[in-house]
Amino acid sequence: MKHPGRRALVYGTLTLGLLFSVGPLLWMLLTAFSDPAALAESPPRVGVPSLENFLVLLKSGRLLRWTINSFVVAGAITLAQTLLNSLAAFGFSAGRFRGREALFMAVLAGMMVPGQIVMLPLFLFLSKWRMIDTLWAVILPTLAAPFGIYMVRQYMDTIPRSLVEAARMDGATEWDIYWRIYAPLCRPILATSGIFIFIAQWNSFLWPLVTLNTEANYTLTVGLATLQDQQVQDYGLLMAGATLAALPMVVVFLLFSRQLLEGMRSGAVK
Amino acid sequence: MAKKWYRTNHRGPARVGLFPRLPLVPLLLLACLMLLGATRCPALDLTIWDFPRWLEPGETVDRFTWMRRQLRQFEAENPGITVRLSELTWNRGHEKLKIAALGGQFPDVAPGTVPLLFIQEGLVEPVDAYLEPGDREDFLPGALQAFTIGSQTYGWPWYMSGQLLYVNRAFFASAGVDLPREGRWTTEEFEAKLTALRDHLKAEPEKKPLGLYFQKDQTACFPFAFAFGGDWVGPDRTFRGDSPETLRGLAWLRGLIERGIAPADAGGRTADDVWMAFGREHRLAVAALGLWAIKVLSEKYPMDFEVVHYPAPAGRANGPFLGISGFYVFRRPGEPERVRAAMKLARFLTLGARQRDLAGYAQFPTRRSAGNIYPGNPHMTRAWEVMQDGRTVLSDPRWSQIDEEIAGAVQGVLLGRTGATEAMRLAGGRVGAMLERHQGSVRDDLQKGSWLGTLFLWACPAVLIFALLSRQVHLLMVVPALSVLMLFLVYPLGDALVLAFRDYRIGEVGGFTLGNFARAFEDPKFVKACWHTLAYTVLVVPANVLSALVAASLIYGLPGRAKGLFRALYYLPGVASVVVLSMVWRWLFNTEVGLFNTVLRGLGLPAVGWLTNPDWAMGSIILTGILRSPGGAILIYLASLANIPPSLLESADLEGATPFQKWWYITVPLLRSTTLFLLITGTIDALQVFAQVLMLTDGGPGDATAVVVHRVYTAAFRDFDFGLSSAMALLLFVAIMIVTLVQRRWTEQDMEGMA
Repeated sequence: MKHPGRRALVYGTLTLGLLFSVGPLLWMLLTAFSDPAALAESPPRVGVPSLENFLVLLKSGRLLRWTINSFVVAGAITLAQTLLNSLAAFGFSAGRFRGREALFMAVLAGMMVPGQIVMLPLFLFLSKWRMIDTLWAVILPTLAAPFGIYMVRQYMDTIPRSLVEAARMDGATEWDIYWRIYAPLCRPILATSGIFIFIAQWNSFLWPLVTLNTEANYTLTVGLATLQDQQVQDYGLLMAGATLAALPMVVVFLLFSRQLLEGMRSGAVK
Repeated sequence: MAKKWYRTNHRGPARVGLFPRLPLVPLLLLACLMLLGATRCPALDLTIWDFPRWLEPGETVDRFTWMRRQLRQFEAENPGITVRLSELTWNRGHEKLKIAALGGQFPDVAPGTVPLLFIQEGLVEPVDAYLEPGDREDFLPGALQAFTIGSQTYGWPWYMSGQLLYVNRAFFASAGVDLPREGRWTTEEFEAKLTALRDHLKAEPEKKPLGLYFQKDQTACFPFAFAFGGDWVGPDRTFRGDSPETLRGLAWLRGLIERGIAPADAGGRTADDVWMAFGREHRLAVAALGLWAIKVLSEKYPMDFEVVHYPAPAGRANGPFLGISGFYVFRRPGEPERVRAAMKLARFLTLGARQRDLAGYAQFPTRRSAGNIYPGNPHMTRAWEVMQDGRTVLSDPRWSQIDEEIAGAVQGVLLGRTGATEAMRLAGGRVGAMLERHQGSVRDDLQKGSWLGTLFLWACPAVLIFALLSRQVHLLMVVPALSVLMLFLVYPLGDALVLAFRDYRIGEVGGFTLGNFARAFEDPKFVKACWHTLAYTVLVVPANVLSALVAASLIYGLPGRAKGLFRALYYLPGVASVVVLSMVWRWLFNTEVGLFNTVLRGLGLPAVGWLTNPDWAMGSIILTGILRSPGGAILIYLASLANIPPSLLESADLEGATPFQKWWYITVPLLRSTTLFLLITGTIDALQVFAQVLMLTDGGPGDATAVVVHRVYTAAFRDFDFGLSSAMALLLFVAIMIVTLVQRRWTEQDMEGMA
């Protein structure tokens, strides 16, 4: 960049864009750390520093429970999906069975099904199995997902087939090829998709809202929506809750930003 | 790579290794868990669901302490019975209860008003056989009556509340207007006093004499519409909203708004807004609010207020709407012990001695033996007096739907969108149709499932067996993921398809029909929802993709450090959930105390009803969509940018192209396939917009922010019109497919043209 004026323009534009997208989150932080008494004034005074909101929230202990539930749900789904998705992707990528492409297209079509269309029958189905109001109701339906299969397969298709042929010639089983060649080679994309899955599940809202009834079983998003219903006007408390809900994802992001950003480059889109 | 991972002595190439080590474990685990989940504990373990109640002294958040204490005492008095409490929320508790009951997962004891829907489905045990001597005499007759359908009573009344009219005395004092004597005023006096207040408040445009809201589940302002008599539905179950008395009341209300006595956007306001304006910000002189406001206005947000009667023409009374709430017990055929224990618990919770605690809840007891629990409190005494004239809404399982129709129609009238006569004629047609439908049970039918779904279900093991028999190891690898998709996506999809072609709503279970699709397009809310969703998609998706493209292009040209920093910062908001962001937006958008309106007021501009004004609400939701950071899209663009050979841009440099020309003529066309991908995925997401609508406006005011998925959700879980809901979901599915195919085809052609 040769022109300082142009550079200023670039940085200015980017910073302005950030203001819009990060702004609400900053407002959330500012409110969360504000004194509740000052917030209750008219007009509310935001920015009087205080930890009161967090203390009130943490004292009730429910938030911790919801956080644990969210971790269990998101963690279990991430592990299961990483395994099942990659296994299926391998089957699709390395396999040559009849109807393979048709089956794969059917899986892709699954991406287009809006979750809401299956919500009601799924609810009734799970209620027959007495799983409503357990975390299983949230975990089981998402043990595998079309998008994950698609993403991993796209990546696997770039692995040279000669590698597979060579391994087969040497007598490796397909399970070996999956577990010892493809899985390690796919580590970047598996990490990326794993983080995506974790974030998506952490943030998922509608399905847990429908299936979880007991407060002790809530995930964080459902708990927060509940909090919003219960504490309609207490914005300090709500923003503190929102902050605590967003925090783990920010940590995940900071820890894994390299995998996330690199993986994205390597395989998500061709 | 070393050879150690080969099994060298093996010959067969692909079709070997049918005994996988790891991958089938999750499947087995899944099966075990399902079996575990199906077993149940046989002990007398009761479940009670309850709503949040009052804060006991010393509590700040937990509104269930009273209930827990009572349950502990009950358990101590009744050894062998344990009780588990499930905590509901007021917003979605009822919905949850209905969903659970229809799904067969109901508790033993549930709270609420008379559960008509469940009674109709045969799910509720009558209490008559469990009333002990003296109970019937002890309950106020109206209280038991509220739970009585036909000759049987279906619940234990607990407390009574009502919607009341409040005045802020400071407004009257500063304007020199007398308060209504003894709290009673005629419609003429009401009008005259509020007109005087209006003239006094001319200098302060955000202050108004009267707050109004007509919202589903809110009856507080009904008495205004019935000031001259009238009703929504008469005792003979015919629609009365179009009667001259009701129309006169509505016209009168519209007149109050036109003359500036109530805010111009009154039709779009919610109870929360009016409470904020009246109780917190002191911007309203008169407002109708629940009984709870007495307590809050005395303690948390102190105000010099008074409870008054609703205005009525001279010589007539205009009573508030009462709510009688209690506990009822679900039927469990074959488990008489359990039902008896549940009845015992429900009676225990509603005993007169326990009802005295209702003073903390600012509610009135339903048993005489509780006595006067508010001696010396003038507000509660006045409230009690006002409530003597009280009435209740229609006892009908479809009241919720009727209420929604009426609320929508009245909102239109108050906003000046439709004339009262026309609005009520339209609403009357739909309400009349609702009232006419015959009644029946859908639950048994729901539990049966459908043949198509079953077919899909059996396809799973069939594929598995085929894979094993034909020794196709790759197919076998696909099976675990495929089973999950079959079981939890395809099978319910089959069910949903069957539902869409069946007449299937609460009170009516019929055979094959195409009527659901016809009804979907006749459903004004769905049609509006389609337009809103379309507008959202058309505005948000290109805006997001464009901003991602611009941001990515700018970031890509930055030096290493700054590049990483901006990339991360732009991605960061993307990891926050829609729920979190929506909560922040709701706070920013708040009409009374939100940042946006505070800034506007500071600039001397009029405040905007971001989410309460129907003209703005959808725009506000679209705004949140546009301002959402397109972090993922930026990353994808950055990845694609890295794939562009630098030689292309260098050759352009030689020809003296400006950076913008290079970007526009070389970079942007090369990113075409990425752009297409982002447009398609963005469109698919945008067409399914839901969470932010639910969190921000819940589709309101009226139907100003209804979107397709929200309508699909409300049709299924609020109206219980499963056929209609499935039909609408199916239409959405088809729309998504068409959009995807058209977009792909169109861009493919475009690319061919380029080549």
